Amino acid sequence: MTGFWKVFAAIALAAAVALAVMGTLAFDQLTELGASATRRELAGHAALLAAACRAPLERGDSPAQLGVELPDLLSRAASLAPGRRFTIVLPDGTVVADTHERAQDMDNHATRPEILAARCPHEPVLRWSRTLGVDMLYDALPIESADGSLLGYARVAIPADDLAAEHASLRSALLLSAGVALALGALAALILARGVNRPMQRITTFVDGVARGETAERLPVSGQGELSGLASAVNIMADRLDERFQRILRDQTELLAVLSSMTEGVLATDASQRIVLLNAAAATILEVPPGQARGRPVWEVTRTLEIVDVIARCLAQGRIATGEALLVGDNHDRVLRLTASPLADDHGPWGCVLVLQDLTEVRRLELVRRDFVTNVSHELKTPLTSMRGFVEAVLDEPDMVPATRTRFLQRARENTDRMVAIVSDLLSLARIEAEDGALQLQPLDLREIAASCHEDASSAAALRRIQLQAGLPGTEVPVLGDRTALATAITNLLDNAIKYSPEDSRVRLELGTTAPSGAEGSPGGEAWVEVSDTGPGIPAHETERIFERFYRVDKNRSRELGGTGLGLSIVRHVARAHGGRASVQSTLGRGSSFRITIPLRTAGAAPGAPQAAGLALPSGPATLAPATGPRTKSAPAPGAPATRASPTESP
Amino acid sequence: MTKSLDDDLQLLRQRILRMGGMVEEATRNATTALTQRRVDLARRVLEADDSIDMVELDVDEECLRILALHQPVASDLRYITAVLKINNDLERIGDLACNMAERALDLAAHDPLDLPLQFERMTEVVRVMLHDALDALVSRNSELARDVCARDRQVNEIHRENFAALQARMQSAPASVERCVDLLSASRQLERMADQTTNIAEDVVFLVEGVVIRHRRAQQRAQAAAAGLGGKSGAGPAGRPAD
Repeated sequence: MTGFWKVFAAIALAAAVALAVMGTLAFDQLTELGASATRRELAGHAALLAAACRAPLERGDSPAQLGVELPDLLSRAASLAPGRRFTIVLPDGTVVADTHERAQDMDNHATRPEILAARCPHEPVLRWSRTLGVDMLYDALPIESADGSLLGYARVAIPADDLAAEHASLRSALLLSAGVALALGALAALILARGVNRPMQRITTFVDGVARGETAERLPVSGQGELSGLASAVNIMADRLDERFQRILRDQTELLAVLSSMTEGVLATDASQRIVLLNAAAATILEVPPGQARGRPVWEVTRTLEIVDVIARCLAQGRIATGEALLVGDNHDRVLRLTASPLADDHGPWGCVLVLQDLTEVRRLELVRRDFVTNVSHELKTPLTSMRGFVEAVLDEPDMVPATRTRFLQRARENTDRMVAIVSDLLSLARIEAEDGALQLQPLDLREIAASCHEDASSAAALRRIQLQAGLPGTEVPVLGDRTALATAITNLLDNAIKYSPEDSRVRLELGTTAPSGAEGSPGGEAWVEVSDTGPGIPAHETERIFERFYRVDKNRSRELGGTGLGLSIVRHVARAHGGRASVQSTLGRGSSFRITIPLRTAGAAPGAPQAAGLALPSGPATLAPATGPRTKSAPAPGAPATRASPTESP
Repeated sequence: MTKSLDDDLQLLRQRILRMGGMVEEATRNATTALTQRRVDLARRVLEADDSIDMVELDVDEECLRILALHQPVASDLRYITAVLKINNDLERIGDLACNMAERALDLAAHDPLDLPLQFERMTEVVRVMLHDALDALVSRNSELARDVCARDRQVNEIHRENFAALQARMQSAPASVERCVDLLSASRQLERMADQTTNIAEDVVFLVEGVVIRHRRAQQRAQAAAAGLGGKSGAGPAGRPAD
């Protein structure tokens, strides 16, 4: 608005000054004009009066005659020029006639300035009329006869008030017209100012909007003037800004999307270690809400020393700094790899970006692999060593008693069997683990498999006087699976239970189904096989690890019992290969129950259809036949007797 | 020398939080070593003790330097005195963590005792207390600090239960006395840690509100005595100063 008032004030002031100057000049000129007109008029009247009075005076009439004649003349003159005062004065100063006063009452006028000045060139005289008591402007002319002798004076006067009134009316007229002119000028200034200001204001509002990010609208451009040029320039600017803004926004959105979808934590700080950015993963690792971390020093947000140090080191040296942090948790520790790289522009480093990489899983896998190699070597070395011992003993002593030799060789063969068992287990594990599954998934009746496993295990159970119970449903339990693998898994569980249970105890095999959605065979329906024993049980913190390869709760005892340490690992892999899981529940001193859960075959599913892997390799029976598990002698025909299995570990 | 008080205070904040972080980690490692029989973590605690002591000296020196150089007043002075005390408390907690790590090493060398002790819950409470006390220091949250103080009672309670259980076991099974003594001192150390953490929380309250909430009962007694002396002619019990 100030802009508007500035323009308006400038125009209005210019108009006012011009008017004032012109008015003053006009007033001066007009008053001067008026004054000279009055002078001329006075002089003219005086001359006319003088001419009219000349005749009676020339005739030499008596004063009495004159006293009649001249006032009459004067009154006629006065009627022609109202408001004027006419006086006839004789050369000696005697007033013979006056329009406003009786001549007899008037004193001698010989010394009046206008009478004294009458005979030479003069100006009218403004003075106080003693006779009338008002200011008057006087002019007098001599009345001369033809020969030039002085007959008297003709005087004309006009009251100064009349003149003042004339001035006043002139001034008020001038002021009025000046006022009107000023008002018109102000109006014009207003319109003009608004004409300039309106578009300016529009542009200002628009630019403000652009600054706030409202870039959708454009200014209307009309005409040719500077303002429309400005408007189109502003429009172009808005276009460019919009374009750039959109690009930055897009880039930023992409960047944020990339950052937030990263599993690695990313955190950026400025030179004073204040966090300027962190992604969701970093916030999770540091256990802070992202909103609360931004803008705060990193050493305030996390007290993990390695993180703080690696950032400080990176900022101090301007080089990539790396480190590792161990976060000890309640359930498991986490290992983080920290990589801090400096952020620099042309002016040097201004911050650093830290990548937090969770190495926990990598480390765990490394450990598993290392353990596995160690375990395999150990497991294979033990029977090999004892085999060598027996064989060497036989070789060194050719005269050995045949019975002893036979016993030694038998022991050597037992160890060979053990090795074969381990290698077979490893191979069957590898087979199940193989990605493109050599598993032949076909429609099976799990009840039938469980029943056959139960039967196979009964002899081993009887040897240890263990009561082997079975709780099988009366109807078929349809699943999609690999007969060999499933039988191996169930047999492994039964073998374990029988091995670890004390004599004269009881092992129970149970089979059942759960259908969460209620309807039989609907999606989500599951079949489960459970083997429970009354053995020593497993400590709670080891229940997860027992499914690992070569993991044994009681190392010596297990080996004594001829376990390979791979049985449960195979069980878990079989369950997983069927899209299910293996679990254990155990109470120390009370016993354990192991459970395999796999999905039920859905009614509409074609044989093998849900498992593409099974169809991908239609290469006939499994190429790797496990020695420990039940060996399939032939494809079971419907109604054929249950497949026999021969667990090698239970003689 | 030419650095401003603000810069120095910022540096001090960083140092004390570094100290806090180290002690927090030591505590976490020591308690986990105890409950999960983790020898590696116990060793880490013992290794870290020297650096904790170094940082303690560092913080102390920094405090004294600021006091001498800037002669801070009001809240800055309060901050520095609070940091001095918190530093000391943290160092004590670090020492306790070391002792506990040693107990954990001893215990890990023997078979676990089958006793219904609540070490898991106790260590969890102590850890969270320390964590919250340091968070309260960072965010100047006196409400959280007061909450930490209130949790000390839980730890005392668990310690009493542990004590009773271990005492009974020692009487009934002299063979396990050694392990029981280890567990007893670990429990005692946890209880001490909670006390020190409470001190830190109290210092945070002092730092934020300028109110001393330590030794409440002693203060109240002293005030009551003063009121009793001065108010003999006055209102009597009604004249007791309100808290």
